[in-house]
Amino acid sequence: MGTSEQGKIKNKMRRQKLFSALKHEKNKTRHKERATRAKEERANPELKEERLKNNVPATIESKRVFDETVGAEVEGEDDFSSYFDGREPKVLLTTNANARKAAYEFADILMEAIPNVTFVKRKREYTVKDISGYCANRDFTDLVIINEDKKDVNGITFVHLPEGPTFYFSITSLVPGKKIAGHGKATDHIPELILNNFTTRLGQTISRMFQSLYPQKPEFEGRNVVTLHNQRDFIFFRRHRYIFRNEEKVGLQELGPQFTMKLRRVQKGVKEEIEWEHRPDMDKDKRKFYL
Amino acid sequence: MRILAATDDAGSFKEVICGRGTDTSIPASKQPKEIKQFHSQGLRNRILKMIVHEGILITARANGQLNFHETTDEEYGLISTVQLELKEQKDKVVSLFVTDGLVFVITETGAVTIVDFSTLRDAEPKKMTTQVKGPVSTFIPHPTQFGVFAYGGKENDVKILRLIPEDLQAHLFKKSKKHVKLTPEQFLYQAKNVKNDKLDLRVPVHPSKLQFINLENHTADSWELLSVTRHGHVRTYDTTHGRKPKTTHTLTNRPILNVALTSNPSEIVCSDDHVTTATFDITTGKLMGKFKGAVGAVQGVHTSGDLIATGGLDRYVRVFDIDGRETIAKVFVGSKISEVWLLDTEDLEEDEQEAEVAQDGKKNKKKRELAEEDEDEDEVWNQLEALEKKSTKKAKKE
Repeated sequence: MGTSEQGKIKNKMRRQKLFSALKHEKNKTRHKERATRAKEERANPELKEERLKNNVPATIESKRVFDETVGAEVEGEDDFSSYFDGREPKVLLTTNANARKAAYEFADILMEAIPNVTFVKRKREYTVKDISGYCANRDFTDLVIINEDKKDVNGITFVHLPEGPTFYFSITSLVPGKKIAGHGKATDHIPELILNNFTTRLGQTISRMFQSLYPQKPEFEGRNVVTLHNQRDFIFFRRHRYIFRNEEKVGLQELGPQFTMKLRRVQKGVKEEIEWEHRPDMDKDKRKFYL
Repeated sequence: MRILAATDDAGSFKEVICGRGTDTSIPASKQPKEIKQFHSQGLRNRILKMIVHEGILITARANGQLNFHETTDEEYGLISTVQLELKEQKDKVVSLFVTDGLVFVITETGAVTIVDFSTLRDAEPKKMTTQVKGPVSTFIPHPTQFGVFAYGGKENDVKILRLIPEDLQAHLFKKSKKHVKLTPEQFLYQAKNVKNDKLDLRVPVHPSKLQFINLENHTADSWELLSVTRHGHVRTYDTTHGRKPKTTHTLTNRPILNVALTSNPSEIVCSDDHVTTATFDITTGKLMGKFKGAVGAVQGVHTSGDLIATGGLDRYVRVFDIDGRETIAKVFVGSKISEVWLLDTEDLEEDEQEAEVAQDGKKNKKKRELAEEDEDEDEVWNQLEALEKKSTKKAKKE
């Protein structure tokens, strides 16, 4: 340790000056290098290609822990099979008991984003299991329950009917369409659905659940599209209107809302045995993903 | 190891052949030798219960079919099928076992079907039916006494029952039907619920699994039983002790779905509807240790020797050592599992040799790693020193 004491510049001002000068020098050389490289590459595009090929940055995604269920085929049938055989989705939307304004506002937003949906005010005397039973008797295919806590929407439950499974997601970063700059007004056309990046077996279950909320009608009108994009186990909900301006350019207008979901729990049946549950220690390894 | 797993999604069962140390989550580790699917019949006809008896695999499916398969056959050929008479559509099989050459299938509503094991190769195996008071969530035979059973269900407390009179032993299916009279109402013991809790509220009754324990103390009219409940209790009954349980402990606040006995009479393995599978001490109700790894509820448990196999909603079959609780094998089978069965626990021969080599390799690897670490550290120190020297020079220049 003795040597480091000797080597240190004791005057702080001088030390800082020296350091900033060093940094400035470095920056300058870097910019110069980049400019010359850009020039060379403009003259010879192959160089750029080669550089990009050799210089693949390491990301959390590329370092993802091996998961044997990625790309695993969906074996046999599951509870969503009836949708893929042609059962029309019919959704009941409700909130937690004793919900406040935020929950109803979010329900309004969701009513626009999910087709064929009915909102029913939640009554305290019926449990989720009761409601699921009543809904199944009335040919509803899904039950969606918004959870509000301390005047904030913080969760959403999806129950596929008649026999489950049940999914619980936490909700963060909710931005209503109105708050988005340059937003458009949503029409009541059935949106198209884009499901991105649901790769594992669990992810496939999730994507099948979202898929079964939207009718299978290939002749889309209204040019609007709902995107559920999964990245590092966060699911981003976005809705846009698109227009093909010419053969190359596509225009996008965001319709909103925006929100982010994170899977917390999957249960068999209507809130029965746990199929998967998020545990805090799952976040320990930053390179391990479940969807 | 050969493991059978009843898989829900395709309504089939799968055979997994793997050695010790198999882990499909780690590409570098040993992979299962073979995973093969048999007799796929779809989700609606999935297997609810599955057992192996004398080399014959018996499966009870959700559509009320009882299938017999040959385990010595590579293709698990179907020997015969018996159709159960289900009264309600939603009725499902809760227990399946073989005792004294009789196959018993019990459904939730209490319908008991008995099939003669010796006639299962006939075109139409002999069967008879009777009814016990439902609802039933578990029904088990006494391991040594003929005709004695125990069962229980939702708000249907533990009962010991003489279903078949003793004089009918070995010729239940030989006598004409007139002479055979089953006695589903002849209870030898009926348990009573525990006292109200401290708020003076009734404790709900719902035994989920039963086991006869301490067989050496059993006589013709006294038995000892263990029950686990869907309210997280484990209770032991001694029929000489009275109708209430001798001991009762609350292990968890979640429903206990499965129980398995271990070589230690005071310890049991329980699995709940969450992710916990653990050994508990039944005398104190304390958790002794968990079998770690499961992400979904464990649906099927099977023990064989000192090994325990589990399979559940996370689509993995796991094999653990009961005493050490370490994972011996972990295999992704691609479908939710309702039942597992360890067919044989012998390690594959080639695996044993491999294991030795691997162990040597591991030791060497450790040594190498240690050496590398030392080098790395030295390098870091060297770099630091170099940096220090540089900074001193700069300071002098200024």
